Amino acid sequence: MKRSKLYRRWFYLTIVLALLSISTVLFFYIINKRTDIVKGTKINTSLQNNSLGYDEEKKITLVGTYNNKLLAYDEESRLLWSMEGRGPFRQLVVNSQKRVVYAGNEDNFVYTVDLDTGEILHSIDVERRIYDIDVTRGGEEILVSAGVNTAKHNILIYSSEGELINNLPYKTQIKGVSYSADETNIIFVNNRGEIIKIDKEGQELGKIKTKYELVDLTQINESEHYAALLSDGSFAIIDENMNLIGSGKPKTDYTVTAEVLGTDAQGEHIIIGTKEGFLYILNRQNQQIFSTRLMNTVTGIMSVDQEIYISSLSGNVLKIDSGSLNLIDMQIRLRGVLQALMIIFPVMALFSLCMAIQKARQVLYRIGKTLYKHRIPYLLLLPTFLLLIFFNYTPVFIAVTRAFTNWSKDFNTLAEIKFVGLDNFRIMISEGYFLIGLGNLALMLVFGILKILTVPVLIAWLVYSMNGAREKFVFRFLFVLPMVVPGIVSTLMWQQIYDPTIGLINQVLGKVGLENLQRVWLGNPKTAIWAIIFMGFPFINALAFLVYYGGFISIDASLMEASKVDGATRWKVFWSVQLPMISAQIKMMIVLTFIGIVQDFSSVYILTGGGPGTSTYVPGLELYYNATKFGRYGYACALGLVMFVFIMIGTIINMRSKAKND
Amino acid sequence: MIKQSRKFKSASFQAAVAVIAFVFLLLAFIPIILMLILSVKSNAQIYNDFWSLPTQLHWGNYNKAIGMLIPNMINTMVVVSIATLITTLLSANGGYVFAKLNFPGKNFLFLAILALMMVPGVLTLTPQYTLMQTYGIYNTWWALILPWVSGGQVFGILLCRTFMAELPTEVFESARIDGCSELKALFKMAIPLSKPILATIVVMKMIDYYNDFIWPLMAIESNSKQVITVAIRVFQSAAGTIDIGSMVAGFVFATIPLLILFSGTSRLYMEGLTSGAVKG
Repeated sequence: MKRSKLYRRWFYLTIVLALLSISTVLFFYIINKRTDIVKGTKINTSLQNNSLGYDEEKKITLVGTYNNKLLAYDEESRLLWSMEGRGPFRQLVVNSQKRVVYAGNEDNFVYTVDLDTGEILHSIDVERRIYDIDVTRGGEEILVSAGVNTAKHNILIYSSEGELINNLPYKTQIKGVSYSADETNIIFVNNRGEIIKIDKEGQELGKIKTKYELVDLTQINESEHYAALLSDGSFAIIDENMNLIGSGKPKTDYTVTAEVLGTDAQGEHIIIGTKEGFLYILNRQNQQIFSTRLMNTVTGIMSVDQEIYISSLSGNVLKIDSGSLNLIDMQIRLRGVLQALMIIFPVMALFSLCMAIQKARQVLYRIGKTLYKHRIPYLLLLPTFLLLIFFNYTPVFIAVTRAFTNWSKDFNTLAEIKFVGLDNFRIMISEGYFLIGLGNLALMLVFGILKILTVPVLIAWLVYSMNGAREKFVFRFLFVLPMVVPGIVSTLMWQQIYDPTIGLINQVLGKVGLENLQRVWLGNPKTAIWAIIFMGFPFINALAFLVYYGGFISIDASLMEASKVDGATRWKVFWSVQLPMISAQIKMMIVLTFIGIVQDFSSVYILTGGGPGTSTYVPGLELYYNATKFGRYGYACALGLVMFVFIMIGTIINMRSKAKND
Repeated sequence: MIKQSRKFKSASFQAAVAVIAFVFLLLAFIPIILMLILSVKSNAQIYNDFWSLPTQLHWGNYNKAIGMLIPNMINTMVVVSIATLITTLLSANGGYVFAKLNFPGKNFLFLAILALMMVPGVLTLTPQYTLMQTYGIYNTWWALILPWVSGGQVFGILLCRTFMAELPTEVFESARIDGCSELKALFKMAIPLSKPILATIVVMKMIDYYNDFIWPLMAIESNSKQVITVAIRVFQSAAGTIDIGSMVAGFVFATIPLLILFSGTSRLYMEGLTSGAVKG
C-alpha cells in the first residue's frame, strides 16, 4: 500500500516536470523570436542623412545630410528650418544654452547656426576638409580635425569668433577628435591605429596603440571614458589617463568596414555601424545582443535620453529604444538559464518516470549500482571522451550531415541551413575544379606509390646487405637524418631549387650548357605538376626506409642460408625470398602513402597554390579554399566526405588483397 | 680457386653497395647542403655568383632571421610541449584503463576510440574550423592544443593499451589488494613501467605537432600567436627575393629544434620503427 503511494508520487512529479519542460521550451521559443528593435521615426529628409544633432531644451532634432543641407525638426517631426552648405555635413555639435549648432561641413567650413532660425551666425574657413569637430561646453573654443590628404592632417583650435588659436600639423589621418572631460586636453585617433592624448599646445601626454586604422572616437555620455572604433569593427574603451579598460569586436561572418560608433545614454551598450549598413549592438560584457543590416551605410549614432537615433545614407532617421536593449540583455541572460532548464527538466522527468514504474526502477537501481561500482574507470576516461566529443565526434557528425546542406558563411545559423540533397556533389562535377584535382591526384598517387616502392626498398636493401655493423648503423642514421628538416622547410627549400633564376636546377642546366632545357618549373602549367611530383628527389622516405629495413632484418637467417647454399644469385634471392618476406611492410606503406597523398595539399598550397591556372589543383586544396577563402562549408564537407569514402575504398581493397595472400 | 672468386665478388659487391648508398646519400643531402650554404651568403653573392662557396660568412642573416622568428619559435615550444604532455598523460591513462581495468561498456568505448583511426583529417577539417569559432577559442592557443590532443591521444591510447596489456596483471592485482588506489597504480606503477612506449609517443607527437602547418594556418590569425611553421612561410613571403640569405637562415633555424630532438632520441625512434611497428 505504502509502496504504491510512493509510485504515485513519482508519477505526479513526472507530470509536473513534463509540464515544466514543455513550458520552458515554449518560453524559450517566444524569447528567441527576434524582435526588430530598430524603428523608423517620422523624420524623413528624403535626402542622404550624414549626421545628427539634438537640442534638449526645445527638443529639436537636427539632421545634416550628404546633399549639403542641414535640416531642423521639432518634437512633432515638423520641419522647422533648413539651411545649405556647399558640402556634406560631417558633424553637428549643439549648444542648447547659447541656442546654436556648430556644423562641420566637408566644404571646409564650420558653420555656427542659430538653433531656432537656421540663420548662419558665423562661418570659419578651416581651409581643409573637415573630419570631426568638438566644441567646449561653454562654446568658447571649437576643435577641428581637418586634412588635405591622408598624410597631411591638422588639429585646429578656434575661438568662438573664428580666430585661430592653435594649429597642430600631423602626418596621419585623424578621423576622430574630442576634448577631455575637463576640456583642458585633447584626445584623437589616427589611421595608424593610435589613440593619442595631447594638451592644447600639442604636447603628447599619452598614447595607446591598436591593431587597425581608427575611424571614430566618441566620449561616452560626457564621462571620462571614450570609445574608439577600429576599421575592422572592433572597438576599444579607454579612460582619460589612457588606460585601456575594455575592447570587443562584433561577431560577424562578413568583412566589414566600420564607419561610426555610439553608445546609449547610460554607456551600457556600444553601437557600431558599418559602410555595408550593418548595425551591431554589444553590451559591456562584450556580448553581441543585436545585429541587423540596414539598406545603406550607417552614418550617425546619437543617444538622447532613452532613445538612440541612427542615421544612414537615406532619408529616414531610425531609432532604438534603450529599454528594448535592456530587455534583450535580460533575454540573453534568461536564454542561458532556459537552455540549462531545457536539459535538466526533461532529464528529471525521465528519471522520475523511471522511478514511477517498478521495472524501470529496478533497472535504474542496477545501472546506478554498476556505474558507482566502476566509477573509477569511467572518471578516468572522462577527459578523453570529453575531448573526443567536442573535437572529434561532433566534427565527424557535422561533416557527414552538413555535406548535404547549403551551410556556408552566409547561411550559418540552424534556421538558415537547409537540406539540399546531393547538390554539393553535383557542384563537384559541374564546377570542374574537383575533377581537375582528381586527375592531378591520380597522377600524384601513381608516382607517389612508385616512389615508395622503389628507392626506399633499394636503400633498405643496400643497408641490409652491408657487412659491418658500424657501417650499417652509420648509413641508417644518415639516411634517416634528413627527416629532421620540417616538412614546410623542405617544401620551401624545393621552391628555392625550382627558382627560375637562382634555383639549383636551372643553375645546373646552365652550367652544363643545357640552357634550352631551363624552365620556369613551377610557373609553367606543363611542368608545375611534374615539379611537385619530383619534389623530394631522391625520394628516400625515412619512415618507409626504416619499416622496410625492419622487414629485412626480421627475415629468418636460416632461410637466407638455405637459398645461398642453393647457389641462387643475389638478384634471385632478392626477388623470390627477400621481397616476398617484406610484402606486409610494403602493403602497409602503400596504404599509408595512399591515405597521405589523398589528404595532403600543403606542398601544393605552398609551391603553386593550385596554379598556374588550375594545373596543380588537388581535391584537398579545393576543400581548403572552400572552407576558408570562400566560406562554402557545406560543399567543403561534401568534398571531405568524398575523400573519406575514397580513402576507405582504397584501404579496404588493399586489406582484401592481403587477406587473399594470407 | 672458387673460394677466392667468391670472396672477391663479395668484396666488390660490398664496394658497389657502399658507392650506390653514398651516391643516394649525397643526393638526399643536396637540399640540406644548399640550405646551409645559402644561409651564410649575401643576396649579391647568391645572384651574381651562385656557384661560389661563401668566402665571407654573412652571420647577419641568422641575426635577422632569428630576431624575426624567435617569438614564434617560443610559441611553438610552449604549445607543442603542453600539447605533447597532455597527449602523453591521456594516452597512458586511457591505455591503462583499457588494458588493466574491467567495467561494463569497455569494448564499446574502445571501439568508439578505434573507429576514429579510420577518420581522415580532411573529413573533419571544415567543421573543426568553424567549431573553433563556436567554442570561442579561435585564434587562441587552445585552438591548437585541444584538437591536437584530442586527435593525438587516439593513437597513443592504442599504443599504450597494447604495451600495458603485456605488463603482469598480478602486480596490479596485489597492489590493489594492498589498498593501492587506481590513480596511484597508474602514476606509480603503470607509467614508470611503460616508459619506453611513452617516450616513443612523446617523440612522435612532438614531431607531429611541430610539423603541423595547415591547422595553425587555419586556426591562428594573429602573427604574434602563430607557430614557427606558418611564421616561416610568412617570413619567406616577406623576405622573398630581396633577402634570400636571411630567409634560408630562417629555414635552418626552424630545423634546429627537431635536430636536437632527433639527436637525443634517434636510437629510440629508429628502433621503434624497425622492430615493433609493423607486424602485418
